[in-house]
Amino acid sequence: MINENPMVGGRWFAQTLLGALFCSWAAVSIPVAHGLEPISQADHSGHARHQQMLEKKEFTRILQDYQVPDVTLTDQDGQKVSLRAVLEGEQPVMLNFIYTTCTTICPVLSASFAQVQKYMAPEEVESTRMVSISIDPEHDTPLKLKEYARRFRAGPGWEFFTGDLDDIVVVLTAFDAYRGDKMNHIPLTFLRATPNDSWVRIEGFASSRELLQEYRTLTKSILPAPAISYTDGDRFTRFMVDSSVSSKRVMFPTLCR
Amino acid sequence: MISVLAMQFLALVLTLTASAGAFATAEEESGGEGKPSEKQLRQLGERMYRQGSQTDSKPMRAIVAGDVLMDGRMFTCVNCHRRSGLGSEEGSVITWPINGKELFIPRRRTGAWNPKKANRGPGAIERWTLPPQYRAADARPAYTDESLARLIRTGIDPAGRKLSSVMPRYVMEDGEMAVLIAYLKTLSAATDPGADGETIRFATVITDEVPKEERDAMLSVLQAHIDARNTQTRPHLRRARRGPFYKTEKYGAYRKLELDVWELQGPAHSWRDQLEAYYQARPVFALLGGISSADWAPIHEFSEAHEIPSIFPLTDRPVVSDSDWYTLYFSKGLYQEGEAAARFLSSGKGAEGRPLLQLYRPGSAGESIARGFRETWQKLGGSGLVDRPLPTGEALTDQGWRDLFAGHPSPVVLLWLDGEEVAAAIASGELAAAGTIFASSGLLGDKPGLIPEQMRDTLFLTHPRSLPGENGIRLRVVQRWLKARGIPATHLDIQARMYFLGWMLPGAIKYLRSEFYRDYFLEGFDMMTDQNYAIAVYPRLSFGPGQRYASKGCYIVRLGPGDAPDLIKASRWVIN
Repeated sequence: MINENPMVGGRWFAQTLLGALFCSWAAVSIPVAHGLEPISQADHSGHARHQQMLEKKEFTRILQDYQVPDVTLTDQDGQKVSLRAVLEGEQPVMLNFIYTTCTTICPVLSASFAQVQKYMAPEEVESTRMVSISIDPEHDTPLKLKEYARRFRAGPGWEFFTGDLDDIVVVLTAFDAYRGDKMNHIPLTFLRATPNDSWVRIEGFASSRELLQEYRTLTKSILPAPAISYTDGDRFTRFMVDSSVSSKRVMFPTLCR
Repeated sequence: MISVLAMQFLALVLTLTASAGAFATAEEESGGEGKPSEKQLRQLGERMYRQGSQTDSKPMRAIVAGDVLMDGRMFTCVNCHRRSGLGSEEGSVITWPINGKELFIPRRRTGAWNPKKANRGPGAIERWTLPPQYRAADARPAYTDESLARLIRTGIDPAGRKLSSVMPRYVMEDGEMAVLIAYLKTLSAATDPGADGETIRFATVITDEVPKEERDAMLSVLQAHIDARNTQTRPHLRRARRGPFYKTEKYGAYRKLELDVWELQGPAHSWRDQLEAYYQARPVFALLGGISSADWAPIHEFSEAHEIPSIFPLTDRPVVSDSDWYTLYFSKGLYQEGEAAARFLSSGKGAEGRPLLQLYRPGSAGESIARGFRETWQKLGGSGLVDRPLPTGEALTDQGWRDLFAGHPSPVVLLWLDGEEVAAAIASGELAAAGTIFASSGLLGDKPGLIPEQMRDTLFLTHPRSLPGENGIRLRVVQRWLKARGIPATHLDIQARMYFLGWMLPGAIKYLRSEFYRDYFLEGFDMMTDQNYAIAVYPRLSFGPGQRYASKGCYIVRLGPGDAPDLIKASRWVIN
């Protein structure tokens, strides 16, 4: 199923980077001949802690119960919506807090949401509410949220909300996400399958596969765990991901001269 | 297998050819010596850094958070590392500096022994003779072009450390990489004009139509802040010379502040030349405050052209732009009132599909409000707006008002006119059937009592500041501050805003440390938390990367009964 979903920018990988694939193949095969110094396992043999750090996940996951507050927010189309109606329906929910001029955290969270949506099977996209609530509601008007949604190519089913600052603080407090000011915020993603379940609180940066895996575990999906698909673009992605995660080898680029 | 390899090779050739094509274009522009000029290369690098666009205009591509594909249209280097390259801190995420000065030297840990070059050598104190806490090894060695390229592609630094997965791993060919690295070498590489080893020079711009009392009110508060800070000059310089080495970074950053006054004379079209002359004579690091009742655009454009930050000028007519960078305004001024009225009507409180009639005098303050309304109304998908500019300098008779409204039965009427004209329009009797009338409380001035009480249910006023009495305590703080400095409280509205600027300034300067770059100075304001303590004019001011209008709100109010009516809130401060 996943293979049928085009990835974010999958085409540009496929179209323009076959050449780079060649290089990546070359790097794996003949690094020494080209003067590369791959980071080998041996290099790290005396640095157990360092290696541990390399492999460490960059997020924590806990289960929490939160009381969704009774507030009315405004969606990206300017419609007033009850937050409880949004979050307490029968559909599975994925929730994060963002603001449109955020420097680091929100762009990454939003790109992750975009990719999870691309990876999902069509029936999953249809049945899931992805919700992003602005923590800078005075700047993030519905128009700004709409523009932001376009920037991250949010598909149907991913909604953006703003509202009165006081209401937003109430929501943030309810989810233990209020840090006094938007500048102090932390990367948070919340998932829940039904209103009777606890929320899964992910603090930090999970990969899109990890998020989708979490989602499928919660929804008891019979779909297979997210795997890498093998279009040209995905082959390249897998190489990139595996290389950078394991740090076992230096990738292609220094060959491409 | 062979055919796959053949395809890969062909694609490589095509990719490199495309890249070469981009350079060929640049070469043509440079007049061609076989290479693009340094300026062109820098522009290409800047475009990559700021807009996420490769030299061939395609978006840069990367993987973030382990497996998330992103491209330059979503975000790029500038988001986290900021325009200065000095990085940012956001919650638990720290983004390190990547400017030319920092990348190509080893990164010493903060507080580590870092002797000046002159003090090194035989007989000098060596790191290992110091107590253990000062022996910290470098966090990483200096980058080379190769190790930097590897970091950008793989996230592994020259010390073998893997960066957080928040740092994208870019997919970039060598040609593109070279352009980006060349740009990083020039980014915040030398201190910006206006700051030297001893002083930071600022200027404030005043135009000649501003009454002397208002000019003095603005200037006296600003100068008092500068003077107060400079009283610390002597002890701080002494600490910088003789303080312990682990505090060098802190004390060595101290600079005395200087404030020049740039007075602009004559018509607005001549201001730019005057600004250039002032700047050539004595460059400044940034503009602080300033005051004008005219359009601020010429000064705004000067700031943009020279990339000089301009912090909180006092103007009701700022440039309203989503992309301009260097002027940080208190608000969008008059424009913001029109914007608020449009949002209020659009959110369903009164428009209900009826036609809207908008009246203003060309060239007046009302025209700026009308523009704010029109542009926002269109963006929100509103329709039915009829703009009716009234002839300049020609007062309408009762019959004139009747004729004007005759063709617009029961519309929503926006009267962006001064108090007496609003009263005259209402007195004409033709608006009795109108469901909703809008006016500006600022333009109404001290004339709200002229509005007949029976019309007050249908009249809404835009009010872009705190309501009377809302900020009493904060205003008293300002009054006491002025009193302590012997400054008469003549124009509290002006003085309170300059008090706020002075209150923010030390934070922005402290944020600079010893990195005297204008972009970084502006980023100090961008990264500040929202403020509602020291501002007596607005309920709240908020900041954020690239946000250039700190006050985001405007009340819509109604008039209470009586000759000196109270303002009654009809909306929250910010209308979404």
